[in-house]
Amino acid sequence: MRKVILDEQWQAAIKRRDIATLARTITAIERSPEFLLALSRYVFEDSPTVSIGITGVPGAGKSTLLNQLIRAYRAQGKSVAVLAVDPSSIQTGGAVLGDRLRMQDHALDDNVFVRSLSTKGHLGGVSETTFISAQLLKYAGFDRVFIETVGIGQSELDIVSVADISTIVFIPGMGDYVQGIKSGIMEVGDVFAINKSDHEGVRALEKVIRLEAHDRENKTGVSLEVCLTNAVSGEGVEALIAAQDAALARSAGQDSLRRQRQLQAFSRLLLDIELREHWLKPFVDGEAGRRFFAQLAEGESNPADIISVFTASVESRS
Amino acid sequence: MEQPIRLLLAKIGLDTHTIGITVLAKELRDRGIEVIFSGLKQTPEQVVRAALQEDVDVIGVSCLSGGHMTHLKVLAEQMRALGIDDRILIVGGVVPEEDVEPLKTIGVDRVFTMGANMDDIAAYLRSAVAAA
Repeated sequence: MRKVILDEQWQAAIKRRDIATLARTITAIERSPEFLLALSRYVFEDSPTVSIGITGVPGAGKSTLLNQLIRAYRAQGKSVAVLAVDPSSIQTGGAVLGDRLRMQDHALDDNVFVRSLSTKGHLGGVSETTFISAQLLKYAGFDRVFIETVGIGQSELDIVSVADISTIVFIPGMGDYVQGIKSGIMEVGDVFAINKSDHEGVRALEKVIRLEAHDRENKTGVSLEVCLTNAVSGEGVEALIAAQDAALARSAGQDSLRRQRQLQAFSRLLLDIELREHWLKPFVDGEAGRRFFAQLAEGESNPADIISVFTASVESRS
Repeated sequence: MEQPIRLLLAKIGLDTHTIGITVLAKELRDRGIEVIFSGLKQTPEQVVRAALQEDVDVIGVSCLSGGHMTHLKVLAEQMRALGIDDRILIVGGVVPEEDVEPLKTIGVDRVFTMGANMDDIAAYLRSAVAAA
């Protein structure tokens, strides 16, 4: 691994958005829990940059929509960074990360940074290191940082505690109005984008979504933006940007609350990683763990015994 | 789980033969490799810039158009210009036997032609990345 040292030189390179340094730093975050922890001391300074989550079902057009968003923001002279998450295989750890190919139009633009991440087996729509990587890109000073989740189903909603605001991308043909009243994605998100707006069924879907948005507004007093987009033609993208800007302006009053939530979630993640790396893994891969699993396989112990075996091994460590 | 190798796969130039590269992406995924698929009709410059941003260990270029000598020469130069010539560069596709050595002189680490075995490719990637 190409080593990253968190010194003044590194800081200067990140602040001038040096692509190679950003890229290497994100790799180091993914590959080393110690590095992730050390970096956390640097990147949380206040920044005017905002992060926007883009989520929705697989094939909804999230990456293609992002390609259009990048184009529109670049026309405004804004710099854009994208973290695009795709699933990794539970069996092999391998992955095919295919979001970038929709955004390759911008490959030669120094003010556009696109990085593909795999979930590394993490559920919830993003990888464990997505939040801190987005934080790094904010710290670097990109005007907009987008986080594209994996294609989600009904309840992978980590993006809500990872991004400042979230846009949920819907497409027609995914079911009737009952889908709209279930718990899950309809309860979160700040902007609802109905993509593939030229497809059949778009009016029916718009009706359901507007109804839900209206209901949520009544209950929470927070208004929700609904817009129609066509990511292929670019139709509706300006309206989506306006909707996201409106949501950002509205949520500006809640900055500190949102920040608290993000930092809390991140602290818990650091704790999870610490427990896993320094307590669970050494136990499972170590002598006591191996002996337990061997006994379990022989029918000589019960799954419940793992707790006392683990506790005993922790006590013997201290 | 050990950290997966990151590989950028791209097709370069005017070439839309996608079957090989798609099969390769999937088979390498099944062998534990993180494949970033950057699509078709890429210029060497686009590929190298993507590789820099993605901080990949390996760049894999598929070329079935016959333009491999021209494209790879530019690509290797771009890798040097951006300071990422330490990454492994592999080429796949229709490459005549007599072009293999010239490609290596340009800076290509390995050429896989028709009939290459998936396990051999994965094994090569592991040993090359470990040695890099």
